[in-house]
Amino acid sequence: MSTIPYYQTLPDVSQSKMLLEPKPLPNDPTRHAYFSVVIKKNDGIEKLVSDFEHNVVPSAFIDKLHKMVFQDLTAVERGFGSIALTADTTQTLDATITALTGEITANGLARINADNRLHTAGTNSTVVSHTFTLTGSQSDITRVALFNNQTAPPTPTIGPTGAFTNGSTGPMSSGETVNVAVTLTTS
Amino acid sequence: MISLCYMSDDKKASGPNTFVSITGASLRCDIHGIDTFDLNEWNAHCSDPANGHTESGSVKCIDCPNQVSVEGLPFIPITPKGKICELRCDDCLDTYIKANQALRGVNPK
Repeated sequence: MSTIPYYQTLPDVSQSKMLLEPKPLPNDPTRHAYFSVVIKKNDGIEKLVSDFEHNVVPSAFIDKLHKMVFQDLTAVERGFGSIALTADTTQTLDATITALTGEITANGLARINADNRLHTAGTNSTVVSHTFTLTGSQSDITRVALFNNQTAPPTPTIGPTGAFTNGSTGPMSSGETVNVAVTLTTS
Repeated sequence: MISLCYMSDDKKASGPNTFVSITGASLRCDIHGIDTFDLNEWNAHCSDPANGHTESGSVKCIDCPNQVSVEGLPFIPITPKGKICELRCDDCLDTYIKANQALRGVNPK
């Protein structure tokens, strides 16, 4: 049995522009933001451990974004400019997540407001980036997430989350750095 | 050497989406109609001064933990390390200029 594309299941919208061309499924992993991560070892070698990897957009993030953008009448909520890391590989990254399992909270890798948050005028892109410098050893780093609060835990609302494309960083030592850059696009 | 400033084919979206798309899709310039997954093309377009793209937001001072607000900064290319933007806050810039003048034997005004 063939699967009917979801855009063909909408009733009574035959005149809608939305039907002019096929749409990607809501869970299409080929859209959303792009994570790139570069680590620098103490011997000076740099390694690209995530090459503009696609993210997961949690439902909680979308709910929060709608509240901030369309519902709030006063500027009371901050944006998703904090970056968190984890060494966990067991958590299933999908729209239902509300926290980052095993979030690292020590050795210079704790969640933090990103150093740089730049939007290019006239375009749909913003880049959020930060360089973590280790103050102790870390066995591994595998995933990254954006949050709208720099204190962890508890978790306020989790934002786009991504796993490293090329596996993980492997063991890291004090003085080494982890550069995380998230390119966010809206449409 | 990091030279992977592009989107490979398997990372391209299958098409535009009209419904709510909070984050996603290609890099798009609403002024000049550029719509691409190619970072090299994107950086080339936005870097052209004639296209007038500028940066706004916040970056960390390179000499202290302070944040520096920016507005109207010339476009900075996207790299795997993000946008490389090295600025000093007002205090650190003043200190830097005075130290530089002292090294050169110039009397600070």
